[in-house]
Amino acid sequence: MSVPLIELKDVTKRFVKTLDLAEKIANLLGAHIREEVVQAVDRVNLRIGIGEVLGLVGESGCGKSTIGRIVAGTLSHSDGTVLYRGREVARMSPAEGKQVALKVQMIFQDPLASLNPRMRVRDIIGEAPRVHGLVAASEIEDYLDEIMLRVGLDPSYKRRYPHQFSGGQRQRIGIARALAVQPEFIVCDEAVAALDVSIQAQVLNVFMKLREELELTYLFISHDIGVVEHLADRVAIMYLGRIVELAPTEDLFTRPNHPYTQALLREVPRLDTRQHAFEPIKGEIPSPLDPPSGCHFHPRCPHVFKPCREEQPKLMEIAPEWLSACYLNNGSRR
Amino acid sequence: MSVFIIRRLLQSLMVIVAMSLIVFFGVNVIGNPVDILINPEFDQEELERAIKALGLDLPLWQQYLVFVKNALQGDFGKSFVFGQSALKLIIQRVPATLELAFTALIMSIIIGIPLGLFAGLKPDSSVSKAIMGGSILGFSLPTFWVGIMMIMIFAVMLGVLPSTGRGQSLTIMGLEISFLTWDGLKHLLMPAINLALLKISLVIRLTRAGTREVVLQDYVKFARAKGLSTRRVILVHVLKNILIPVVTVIGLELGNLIAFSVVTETVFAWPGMGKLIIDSIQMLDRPIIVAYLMIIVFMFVTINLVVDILYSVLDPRVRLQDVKA
Amino acid sequence: MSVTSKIELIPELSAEVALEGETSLRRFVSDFTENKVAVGALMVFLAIVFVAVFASLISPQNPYDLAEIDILNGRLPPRSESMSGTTYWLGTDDQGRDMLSAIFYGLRTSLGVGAMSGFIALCIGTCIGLTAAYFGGRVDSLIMRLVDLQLSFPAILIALMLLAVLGKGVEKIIIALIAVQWAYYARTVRGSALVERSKDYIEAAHCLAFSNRRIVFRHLMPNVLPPLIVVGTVQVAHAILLESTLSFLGIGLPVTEPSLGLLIANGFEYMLSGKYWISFFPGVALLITVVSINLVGDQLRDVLNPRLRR
Ligand SMILES: Nc1ncnc2c1ncn2[C@@H]1O[C@H](COP(=O)(O)OP(=O)(O)O)[C@@H](O)[C@H]1O
Ligand SMILES: [Mg+2]
Repeated sequence: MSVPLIELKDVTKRFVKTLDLAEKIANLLGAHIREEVVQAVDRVNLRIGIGEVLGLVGESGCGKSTIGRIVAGTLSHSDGTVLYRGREVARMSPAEGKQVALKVQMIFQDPLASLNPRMRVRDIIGEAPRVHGLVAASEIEDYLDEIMLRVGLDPSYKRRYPHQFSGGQRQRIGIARALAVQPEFIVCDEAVAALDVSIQAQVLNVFMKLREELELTYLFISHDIGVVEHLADRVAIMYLGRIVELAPTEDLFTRPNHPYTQALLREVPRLDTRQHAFEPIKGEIPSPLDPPSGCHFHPRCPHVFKPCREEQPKLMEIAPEWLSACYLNNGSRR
Repeated sequence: MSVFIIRRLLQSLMVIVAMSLIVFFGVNVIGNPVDILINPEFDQEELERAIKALGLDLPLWQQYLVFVKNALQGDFGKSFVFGQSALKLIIQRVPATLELAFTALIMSIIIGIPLGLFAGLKPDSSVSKAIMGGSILGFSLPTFWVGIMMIMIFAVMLGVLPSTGRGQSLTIMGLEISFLTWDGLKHLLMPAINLALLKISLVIRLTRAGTREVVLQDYVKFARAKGLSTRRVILVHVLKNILIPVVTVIGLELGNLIAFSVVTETVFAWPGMGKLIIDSIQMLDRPIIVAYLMIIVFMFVTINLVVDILYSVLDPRVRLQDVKA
Repeated sequence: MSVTSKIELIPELSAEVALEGETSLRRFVSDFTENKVAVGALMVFLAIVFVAVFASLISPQNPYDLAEIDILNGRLPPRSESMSGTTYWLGTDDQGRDMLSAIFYGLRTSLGVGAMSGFIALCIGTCIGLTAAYFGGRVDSLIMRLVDLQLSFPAILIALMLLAVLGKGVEKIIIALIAVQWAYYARTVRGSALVERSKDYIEAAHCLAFSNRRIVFRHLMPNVLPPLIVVGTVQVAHAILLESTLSFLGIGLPVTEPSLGLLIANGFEYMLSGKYWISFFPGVALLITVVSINLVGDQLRDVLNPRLRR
């Protein structure tokens, strides 16, 4: 693989709630109040090549959005490095950092909340190119028309406010806003999850069309593994802050390796296999404040055996381009 | 729980320190301490002696420490006007102010709760509408103007109540109180109502809201339908439900009443500490001003602290919120 | 980007018409006018503002022009005539000033001081509240400590403290009123800014590499202002009341800038001899002003509070 567009090396994010003075004094007096630490992302490695679509899937609260934010540069990470075209983002000069920030844009889950309710569509889309001087003031109207048409919006709606649009149209406005700064990489965080199923397909089509036309690279985040199947080149499965499996989409959907991936796929009602049995994964997601030892998935895993509880399994290459973190791959069983 | 109390204690301490800093720097930086602390009628020699005695030739931070040390010992200097210890002068006036504030507090309860209950139980009657309209008016009325109007009506026009001053008082356990004599009571009535007016409006609103909430709940409707007398239903359920919020607010409003007594005391020439501070500001009697500010801050912080802690004992939800935050 | 590739019009584009044609402003106006009392209060308030602004044009006399007043006309009861034949509808004060004119001028001072202090406090409080909410962490807790500290004391006490140190004067009382009010604005702004800040459009603005200043003032602030309207009206009423109280106590405005509070104080000493009008009418004017502002504020709160919306 050539130099990836985005690369994460051992990226970790901890959210810490520190003790205040009163709690420290209470501890001195014999109370037992502890700092709360959530390890939202735990040593994650990802390489996303130019033009690729990487799906990132996991249950809610497993740290997907946190990764998305770190990639998009709106959240700082605690450890590890983020590289853009092979160069470390944290070490860039402010000016360069800003260029890179513009090259990576984000699309959000709730189309309405992601649009400033007090701005007209033309300002929502046009503010950034104007402020950053990407387009000459005299050409801005044409530029807006072009972008709105590109995402399937009627340019005559330019003067309207977000609440005057439907959900699908709002999401298109969000896409147009991102496109307006000429990005190379787009993080879609549950970008269609809030839309009606019929509209979902249309918006997904917009994404794919743009990918072809503009050679965009995507990180496509979804809690629903079904959504990424027809979209992603590769899929990463996440569980409680860790990546447990990463494989080309077709392989992953036909021969899921990790028990968690298998469980996720079993939950999806599938037309082709006519499997009606809809089996939810047993057990609850453990609290991220106090994750299980060893493999985080072991309390819910049907194949659990001794090492699973003791040490975290490594993410190993089980086939070319195919990584999985499960002790079952170490030979003995299955 | 303990964390909550520790946090509140720390906060209270910080408030007192911050306020002492503000008062100290207000006196020393914004104003000229020589003007503020030393009697302007002193001649040059006396002036220099006083500057030395007050430590005004020391660096600022040392002066602050001296100020704190003296304040802790209750020494805020001597009043220019009365020539007595500023603290003592204020302490002498505290009973009169507290008497007024507590009377107002009790009045706001015994007038506010029945009216609020009525307005809550019969929201559509015209009396209730009048009560609620009156309570809106209560929030908008300027206290001092109402006081003046009361004097005009009851003292000047009807001549039934004395216009100003504190009446005959008795000394019980070292405290001078006036509400035990007929004359004292007559003098107390108007200022207390005047001070209570705003709080009466507040209690009416709270009581009404609490009553509406309970009355609309199923178990009360049910109890009524079952034939229990309306009166018992009201007593048992409604009062139980509204008492905690009302009592809490009243606890918190005590400090407010003490602060607002400044106005009422001025109108009715009530010899409390509020009247003293206004007179002192007008006469530039600075030691009293500084002492008053520190005492009132201390009083406030203590009242707020006690109410908060009591509330957290009464209502566990406060603590839960605190843990979550 | 290259020239637009002319795309097929996606069905959604033509099929889905705009959902809400009605603008929010129009809805706001129609909601507000539902309450007739509030509309009446608004009219009264506008009339008061008019009187205050044009006091020098519509007053029967200039009460502070010594050439126009005559001490021989002092303390005349309402509806009496002066020696030169003009009628004093609300009587005269001890200096022989027409009370109606004095009230008009007093309204100007009271409203002016209230509005000015309210506006400055709003600006300061908004900036501080936005800063606290946007930056969070230490900055936030420091600011909020200060706000809590201040709000734990009654306004009149804070004003008293400041005026005791600062002394009398128009600018001093404006400073005191600002100091009293800013914390309410800061707390309100912070509260709604915290809600807004966590919304995705702010994160999107970050993504678009806007400066902190632009995000705070162009994106956050316009969404935080509506609840401030309510706080603002209530605060202006409070400020007017507080100013008149302080002026009455003799620690607010100087005698050269007579506000309603000072007029009431002037009349106080004549009250005991039954000359009620010198205090009574300025108080009525004050009351009407404050009640009308409060009624408008109440209705604004109901209209702007989404929970009460049908
Ligand atoms: N700002 C934050 N402060 C504290 N904890 C956070 C914050 N953001 C996310 N978390 C925690 O990090 C974990 C991962 O969250 P997130 O990345 O939003 O998950 P996902 O997008 O997969 O649903 C969750 O446990 C969440 O509670
Ligand atoms: Mg998420």
